[in-house]
Amino acid sequence: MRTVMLLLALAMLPGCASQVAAKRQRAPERAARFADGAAARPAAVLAAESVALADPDNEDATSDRSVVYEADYQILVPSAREAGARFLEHAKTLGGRLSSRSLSRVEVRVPAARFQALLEFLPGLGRVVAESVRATDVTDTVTDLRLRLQTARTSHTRLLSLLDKTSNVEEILAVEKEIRRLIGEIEQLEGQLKNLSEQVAYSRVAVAFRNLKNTTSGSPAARGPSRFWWINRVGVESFDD
Amino acid sequence: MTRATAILVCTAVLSCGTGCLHLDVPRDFLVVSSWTDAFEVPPAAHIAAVAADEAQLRVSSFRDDWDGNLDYWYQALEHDLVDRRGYTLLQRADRQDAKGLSGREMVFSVTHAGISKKYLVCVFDAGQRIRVVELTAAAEVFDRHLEAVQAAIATLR
Repeated sequence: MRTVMLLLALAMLPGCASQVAAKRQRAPERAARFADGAAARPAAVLAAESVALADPDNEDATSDRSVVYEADYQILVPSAREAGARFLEHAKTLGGRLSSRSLSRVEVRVPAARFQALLEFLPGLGRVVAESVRATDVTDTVTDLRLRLQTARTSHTRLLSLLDKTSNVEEILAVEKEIRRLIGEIEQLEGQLKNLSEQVAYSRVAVAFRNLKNTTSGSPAARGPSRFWWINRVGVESFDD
Repeated sequence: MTRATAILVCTAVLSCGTGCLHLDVPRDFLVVSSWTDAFEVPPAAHIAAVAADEAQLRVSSFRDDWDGNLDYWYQALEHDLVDRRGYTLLQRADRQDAKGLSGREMVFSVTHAGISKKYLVCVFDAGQRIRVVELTAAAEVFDRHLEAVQAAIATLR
């Protein structure tokens, strides 16, 4: 009866798992082993769990909202290669890092606090023809992940205590199975939380550079010439002829 | 000399009096191109000068096929540059050439070939011809030429 109740209780726990020791280890040794495994969480994950990021514009430095900032730009430039290099160099000076790069597209991640500074740099590279800036509030998701993680850890601790107290082989096997599942879930939640917190901490900025061939926005070639021919012969564009 | 040739030469010589352009080009500029097409009626003319920092000055004379007046051309030019080409009008002023003919000047900012530039255009209605003085340069060097070019516009004849 005791075994059945124990299994029912285990089934109700938000589970997870890791590695299990030898079946016939003494209970205290097993408990210590599982406890060590759970304590070996990466420092980055622990830091991620407590991350509280400020708004990039610093409008509310005390805000504990978790926001993911992303931007996609298209810029007309004289030289896509040169502009891409300048963009990447500036992003690095702001503490950013390269995510991906092709001939005409560069994607970087910069600290969220420098996101706005990087966007303000972009018009200096050329003519911005398209821009998309998004701010996604992930506070609820982060909170949910933290709660689930906390619950899983609490269950893990309880199971370790239970393991200390039991001597029945079947019960030990059942508890260890649940502990394995529980540790797996903890690791998964930690991974999700780490990934999300990195997205919050480092904003993504992607820029597609397009070479322009001596065209000015809305030039007669693009928007139709004036009906007066002499007007088509004046202007900045006409100096290229 | 045939009679036809003589007529053409006479026409060219006579018409040059209204078609030729002259401008006291500011010292910072070197004239790189200057010509008069005396065989166009009325003659077309053109002066182009360049500064060491690549500021470009140009004076042109266009045939007015439509007999527009100064107000009309001024508005048509502003409409084309602002509404069709995306220029931003920064300032405007009235000018006079060496003979007291009224002209209208506009200064714009525009990004061209990825470079932020400024552009001055001053238009005069000289009867059968439209005279245009233009200055373009990178935004950071434009202002250093502006005053000299505006003074030069007063020497246009």
